[in-house]
Amino acid sequence: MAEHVILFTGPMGAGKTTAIEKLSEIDVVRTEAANTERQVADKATTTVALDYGEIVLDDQDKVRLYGIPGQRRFDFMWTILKERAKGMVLLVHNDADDPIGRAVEYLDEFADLYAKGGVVIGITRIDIAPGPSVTDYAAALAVAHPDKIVPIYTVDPRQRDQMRTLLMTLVANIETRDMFVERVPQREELVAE
Amino acid sequence: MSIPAHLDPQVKEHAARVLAGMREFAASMIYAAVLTDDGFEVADYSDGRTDASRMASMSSSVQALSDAVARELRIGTAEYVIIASDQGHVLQRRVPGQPLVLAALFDTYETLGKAIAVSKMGAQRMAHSPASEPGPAPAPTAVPEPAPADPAPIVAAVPPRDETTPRSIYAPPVSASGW
Repeated sequence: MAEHVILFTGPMGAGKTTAIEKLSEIDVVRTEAANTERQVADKATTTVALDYGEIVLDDQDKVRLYGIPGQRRFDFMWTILKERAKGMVLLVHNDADDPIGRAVEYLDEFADLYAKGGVVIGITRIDIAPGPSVTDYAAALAVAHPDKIVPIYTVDPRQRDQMRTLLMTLVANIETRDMFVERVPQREELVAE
Repeated sequence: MSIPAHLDPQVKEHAARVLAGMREFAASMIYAAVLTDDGFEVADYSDGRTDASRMASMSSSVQALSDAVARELRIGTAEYVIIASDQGHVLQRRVPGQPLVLAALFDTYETLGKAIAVSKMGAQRMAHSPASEPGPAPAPTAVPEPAPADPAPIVAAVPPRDETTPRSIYAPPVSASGW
């Protein structure tokens, strides 16, 4: 059975904990604390270390799901967690201040996860307030990261099927890339030949 | 909605007094902080070499992870957390009844027992933190319940207070540092 470690990233209030709760087949390990930044995200609690869940996809891929705290002051947890991860689900809530800027910021921060495996973006709360369209996100990412191909979806983190689609897209992306890397001779091998 | 502790000047002042009192009690205390559950620094006692904001965030994560482990193992509530190293030990615990954490670093000359005791007393002292009200209190609609009695002082022998001297409700009962 293949194992994947996937990081759920994105700003506070994007729905990372909810998504992991919906996806996980085990009781989720949560590290919630009373939220004193109600002006940033109007919710009672916030993740301060990590969320952890697990899911098995198609009886063959065990996926370990880690959620990060969204606030930058916890970026030491970002460093710890991204060392273990091979891919990233980036969730951004469309009613955030400058959601496209936030998406680019997180993609910059976790760029090495794109290199290691893959990234997929889920835009949440798209029904809450008018905001940028998926096309707007795609255009901005094409400018900021012209070398990266990142699938973008609109999702509701409360909907397990939608989150599962997002996750399977990412896992398929990672596995395809793994196969490609295995098949393509490395530079050193070519030189030796 | 009440003012978050890290933005409340009265709570910050009280926290600073509690930490100063801990330092008086244990000269081995190198660094200490009171922080909100979600990692904002309320007050700190520092040697100037510690990034208090960053430590507040890290202590918040450590506390939450410790609670998660205790929950997972079904061993009740984590009372305190110790990080022991060859150059000092960090001890942190929740402030009873408040969404706050008290974390302190002691050098290795301190016994762990005393560090535990000092942090416990500090947390108990912090538990009686005065919170500012965000605005004028609403007019009472019924006869208010009598206020609960002051908690027992941490220091057993409390000298009688001079009732002729006006005293702020936030003034410490024992010493200038609140101990």
